[in-house]
Amino acid sequence: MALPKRIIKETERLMADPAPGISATPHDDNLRYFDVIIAGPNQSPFEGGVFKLELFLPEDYPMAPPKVRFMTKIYHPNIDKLGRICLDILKDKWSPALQIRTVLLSVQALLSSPNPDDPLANDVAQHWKENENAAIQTAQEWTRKYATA
Amino acid sequence: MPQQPGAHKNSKETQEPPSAARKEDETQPLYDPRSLQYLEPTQTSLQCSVCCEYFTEPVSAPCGHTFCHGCIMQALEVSHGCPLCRTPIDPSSLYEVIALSRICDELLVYCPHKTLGCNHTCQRIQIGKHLKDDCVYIGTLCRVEECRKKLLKKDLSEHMESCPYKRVDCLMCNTKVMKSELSDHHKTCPAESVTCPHCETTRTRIRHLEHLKECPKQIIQCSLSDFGCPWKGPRFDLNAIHIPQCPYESIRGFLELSKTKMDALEQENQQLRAIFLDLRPQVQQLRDQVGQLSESFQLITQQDTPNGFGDAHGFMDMSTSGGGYAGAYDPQSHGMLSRQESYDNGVDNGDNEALRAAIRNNSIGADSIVSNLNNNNGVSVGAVDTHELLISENERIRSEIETLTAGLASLELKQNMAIMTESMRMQEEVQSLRAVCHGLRMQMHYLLLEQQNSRGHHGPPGSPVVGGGNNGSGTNSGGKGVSNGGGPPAGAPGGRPLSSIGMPRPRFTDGLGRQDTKL
Repeated sequence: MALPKRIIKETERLMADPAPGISATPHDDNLRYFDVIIAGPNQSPFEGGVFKLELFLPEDYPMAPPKVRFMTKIYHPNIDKLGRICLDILKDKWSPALQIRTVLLSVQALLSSPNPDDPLANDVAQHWKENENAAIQTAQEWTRKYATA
Repeated sequence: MPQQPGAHKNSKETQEPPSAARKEDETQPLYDPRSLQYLEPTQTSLQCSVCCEYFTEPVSAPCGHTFCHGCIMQALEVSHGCPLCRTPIDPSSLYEVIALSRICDELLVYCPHKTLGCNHTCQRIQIGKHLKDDCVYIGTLCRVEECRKKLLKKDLSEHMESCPYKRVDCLMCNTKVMKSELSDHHKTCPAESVTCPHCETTRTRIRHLEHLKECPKQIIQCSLSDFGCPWKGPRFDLNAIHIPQCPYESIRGFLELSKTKMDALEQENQQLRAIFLDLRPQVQQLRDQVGQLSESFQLITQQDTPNGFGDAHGFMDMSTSGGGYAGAYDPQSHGMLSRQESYDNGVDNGDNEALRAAIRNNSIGADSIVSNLNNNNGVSVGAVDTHELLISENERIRSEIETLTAGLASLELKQNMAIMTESMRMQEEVQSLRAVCHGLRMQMHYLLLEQQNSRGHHGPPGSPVVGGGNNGSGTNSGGKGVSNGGGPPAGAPGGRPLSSIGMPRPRFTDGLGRQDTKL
């Protein structure tokens, strides 16, 4: 099936005018598959880290949400050890008016504001709730350990 | 512009395209509105937030957001809210935004075939008309049914000039021929003029073919060359010179007669061969059946045989004289087995022979048609024979089994009779032996009594005169025992007289009364 015009346009715009701290590059052999790099936001436990993600646009995109997953290990209450992200717009709150760019900006925002009340990694969320400072310290350690380029 | 007659014809041909081709073109959408390229710089306010293109048939929802009609309908299939604000939308509440639609339709677009070379630009609303009527870069198919080559509209007329499937007129015979076949057509065109290679006269091909049948200079064979006449020469020599001399001409009648006969025989041979092929699977089927029967028969014999042997051994145990019967029974059961084997072999051999003969007969050459015919008759009969042979063989074996069962029964009867007679005889013998024993015991008793008496009266012991007188009814053996006197009678069944010899005398005197009661 030919690639929809919208995907081509989005890709062109991502390459020409990337969002700050975000880069997304499509694979040469599969233009629906993107290698994404998100810089850890400032003022967050992930500051200074470089996080690799993969993003895949399913056949019925933009009617269905893209599939996004962290490839880099990250200590975050809404991201599990397999890299799966708990984010409503990637699931039931998806809208066809959303784009790759907006999705990645949302992921970046999630790094800035972890939400331990809607956890995916229960142990991390527990840690975050019980002792936020210690959890942030662990997240910083992990960022240094795993997310330094 | 003056037109060539050929060119005129071509243009006429392109005007009569197959209707199917026209339909095909119409069913395909000429362009995808979402893939149009606009001359205008992107104005996001005029773009649908779902497809990110300028609006196509824009509709607004009560929430105020506008989308392409197609996009919002597709989005509402997935979720029922507005893609931008998530307000629930009822599809019937969408309304067309006419002004926006006009603005978008008036945007200038490139022809979708820009990459192929079309530099046309126009308002979006007119692009459909351009593609339908004007754009020469649109894909189309060759109008000729056999060709249907995909090409651009601009290349069509050029292609039609050279399309190998296009029909052209043969100038000689005025028929339409495919362009690619025209040069071949000239080799067979009936209107083409041809020179006879024999008499070097010229005429059209259609007449030439007729001429060849009567050209006087053509080299031909004798009309009886089929039967072996080697003559060859110009046609006009045949009747004038050769026929009167031809040695085959005199037996022409005979040759033709034998030829018709031969043909008839060959035909019959063919028919018979077909029948044979029909019968072959039947024979195979019968053979399989016989194989199964012989297997089951072997099973039956294997079950029967151990029983037979067991009986024979039983007879041997019961009486020694019975062994003779058992021996007589044994070879018979073996005989039964060996006959069964020979029967199996016989069937196989017979079958193979018949088939081999069939194959042999089938491969005989055509030079002996008559004998072949007979043989083929033989084959079909042979196949039927094999069939009947197998059935009769089956019957024979069945009757054989029956006779053998009857023989077995009579043998058992005989054996029983023999055992009875023998045991009767033995009984009698035992009876007589018992009588002898009794006699001997009587004698002994008398002798002992006598001895006691003579001791008591001081008379001579065991006087033969007295013994003989007393024992008048004694047999020969009894007399013998008397003559032996006190000596032990060999093999006497009664143990007491024997042991009493060595016994001390006082005992006899004491036990007088007891001896009386015993005898």
